[in-house]
Amino acid sequence: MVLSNQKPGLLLPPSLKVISVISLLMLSSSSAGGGAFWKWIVFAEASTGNTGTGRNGWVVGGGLWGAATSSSNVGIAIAVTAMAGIALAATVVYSRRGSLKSPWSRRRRKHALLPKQWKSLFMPDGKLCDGGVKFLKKARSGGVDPSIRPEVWPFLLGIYDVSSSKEERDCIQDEKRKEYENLRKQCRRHLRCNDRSFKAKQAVGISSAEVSGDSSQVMDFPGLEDVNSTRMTPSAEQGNLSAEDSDFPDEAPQGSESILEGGDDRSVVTYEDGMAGDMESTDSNSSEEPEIAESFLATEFTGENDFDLPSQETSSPFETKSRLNLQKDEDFATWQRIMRVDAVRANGEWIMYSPSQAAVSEMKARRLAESVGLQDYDHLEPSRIFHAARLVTILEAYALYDPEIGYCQGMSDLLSPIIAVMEEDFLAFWCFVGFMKKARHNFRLDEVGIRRQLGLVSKIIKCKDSHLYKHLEKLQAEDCFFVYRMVVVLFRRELDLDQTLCLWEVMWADQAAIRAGIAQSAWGRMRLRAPPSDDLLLYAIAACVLQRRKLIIEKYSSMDEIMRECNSMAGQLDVWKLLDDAHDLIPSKLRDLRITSTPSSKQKHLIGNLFNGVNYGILNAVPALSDHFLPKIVGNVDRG
Amino acid sequence: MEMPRRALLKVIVLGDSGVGKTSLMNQYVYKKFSQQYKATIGADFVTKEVQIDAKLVTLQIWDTAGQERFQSLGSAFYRGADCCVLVYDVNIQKSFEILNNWHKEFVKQADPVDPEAFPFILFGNKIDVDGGSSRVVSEKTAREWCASRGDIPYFETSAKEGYNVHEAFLCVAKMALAGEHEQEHDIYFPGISETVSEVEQRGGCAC
Repeated sequence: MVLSNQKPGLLLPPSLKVISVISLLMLSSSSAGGGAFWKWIVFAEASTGNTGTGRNGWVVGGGLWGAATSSSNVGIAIAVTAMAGIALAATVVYSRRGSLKSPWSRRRRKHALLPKQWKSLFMPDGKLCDGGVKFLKKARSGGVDPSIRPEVWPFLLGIYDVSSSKEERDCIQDEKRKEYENLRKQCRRHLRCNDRSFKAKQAVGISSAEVSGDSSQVMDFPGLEDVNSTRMTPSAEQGNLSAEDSDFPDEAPQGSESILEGGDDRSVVTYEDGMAGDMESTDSNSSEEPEIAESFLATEFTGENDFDLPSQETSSPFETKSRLNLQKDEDFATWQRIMRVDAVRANGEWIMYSPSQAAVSEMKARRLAESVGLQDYDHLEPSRIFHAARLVTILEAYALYDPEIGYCQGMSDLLSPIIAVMEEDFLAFWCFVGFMKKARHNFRLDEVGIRRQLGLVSKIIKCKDSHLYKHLEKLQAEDCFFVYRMVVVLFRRELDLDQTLCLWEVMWADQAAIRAGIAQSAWGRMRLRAPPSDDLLLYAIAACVLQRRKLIIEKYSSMDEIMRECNSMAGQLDVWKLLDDAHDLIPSKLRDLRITSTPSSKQKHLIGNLFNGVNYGILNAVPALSDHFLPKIVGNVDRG
Repeated sequence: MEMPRRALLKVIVLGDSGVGKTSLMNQYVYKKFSQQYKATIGADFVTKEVQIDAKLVTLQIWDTAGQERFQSLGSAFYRGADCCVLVYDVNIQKSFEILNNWHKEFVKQADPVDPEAFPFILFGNKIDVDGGSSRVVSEKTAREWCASRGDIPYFETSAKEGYNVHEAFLCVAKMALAGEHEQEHDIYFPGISETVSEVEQRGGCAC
């Protein structure tokens, strides 16, 4: 075959474009002289020759991919694999940068979704036009303007369906508010009980313990958070707080009005109730409360660790199997302790983005802090006390909602920006739940999720850059533990708040598009050639590592040093560059697979197989997995 | 055979969330304190050159996440440790009780040649809080625990005020160095570093 002797950077014969047979050729010449392969994967379009754009892209280093993909016809892949010398495996023949329509390249990048555009996306019945395609495309290519984030996020994070009407959304909002308030009631009961058992333990166990104040001290302002969870009203500021209504679950207020109306005569409730009695009455009276929380609480107090909940109709969508083992080590009290510690050390970066929350009164902040049992916050300003208290409020509710995860360090990093944007607790909570649908796996006790993620980053690096991968192997770092933090807190520690939110919005938009089953044709119509990926983050992380490949290979001789590098990237990354590089790593075949079906275990299985090398043949055939990426990074490519 | 090799001593700091592991390390290495260190996710480390009896060594001090569920992550980082620092908060009973867990997990995962002889050390941190009035674990209790663990050294510290931090880590360095003479393990391979080849820098167009 003629091509087998082509050098990188040479022009390909124009006649290639009329090849009309889908053929995959993998020529491996003699294996002497090393184990590395060249992979030349050339895409020519179907025989119609109806190319239009991208025709000038026949230079191997340039727009070849554009020529292939800009056609509506299916591209034809011809892979010519030839031998090359040692250490060449990872190097590359061409780059398709500039031709793949990365929405994040400097040239193409759009501004964020603006308020005016956002309004114009709605039809008279309150539905998003185009089934949300335009919206998601827009959010994905440039993020969302800060002023409309509170309105937009519930769509991105799945509280509202992108095809929902205004009426449906109002309905969902009421349900969600109620559901959240029920969870909070559980938490308050818990706090009360824990407080008692803590004091009891202190009194019994440690003679030197300073047991200060009476045991109900922390509950002096039990209901403030309820007010906060609903609409901000002057009465909240004035201390006209609603009641601790957890003992009247069936009369749970359903909205801000009822809370405030019922506030006065329900205040100061039965803190003196016996612990057991309290729990019993809860169990028998609260049929409408989330049962997962009920069971959890009950378990806690019977001293058993049986979290294998019966398959009740729970409010939590998560599987409950294997909880039995997982819950042995940590209980709700442990989570509360750690979340409080983490909450008071959350940083104040959000303050400049949320002036209204920054202006909270000291009294209100301290009341909420006391009501959720926050400690050691005297050094903080009111706005940060308030923020910390809201963190605990919502994290507690989440721990009950998803007891398989409970609370794990890192989760407060994810919640903090959400709180800063969403002023209403219940919406912040459900946004967080939406975020955690995917992110929660990173926090699993059995570490299956995080290992999968690290494994995928490792596979991406292996596919893209075998030289770097070999180096990592030599350092016993191929498990990619050095990107652990990036995976767990999704670049929150590396990027500033604004950039983090842009990254997350792009990710969320991808996930929302997959969730909505928006078909390939829809994206095609929008001429967006970067279909959604469920694992965009991992590609971004791999891109981030590959950006430093030279440094890693030349300078670093231990996993420690790589980890150091990765942990010191704060302030050095640009989110759009990262996304642009990540875009080039995403296998387009995979993209096709992903958007033609709904997100399912099937998909996960597919991607798993691909990356596990089960279908390694396919992997080799996937165009974007060929080694096109490195020249950009090495920066020394002969592009012909 | 006395090879002049770089003495890098690896120290792992373990303990419950919020007891002050990161603060202790930063106080020791950078002589600064902040209330705002975020929770450590995964692991990180700092290094410091220390002179011990005319010998210059590099302490590589590993900070770890305090939540129990991260324990099994440990094996990746515990490898090749020369000393393990356990930290608890003298004001929080639970952080003291949990020490047994950390001790056990470390031995299990780091798998030192001789677990009995492996150097551990205990820091009781935050003794400055409320002038000591909120303290719940007495020095006596802590020392008893240390005695039951084979007489491991104990230091009371305040990362916030810098109290006893230097002394405590100096002890760490000495113990690590003493142990290091007895154990042979791969700390560093200076020879493993390599350069990106010429070929590669040209974009791999050599064939």
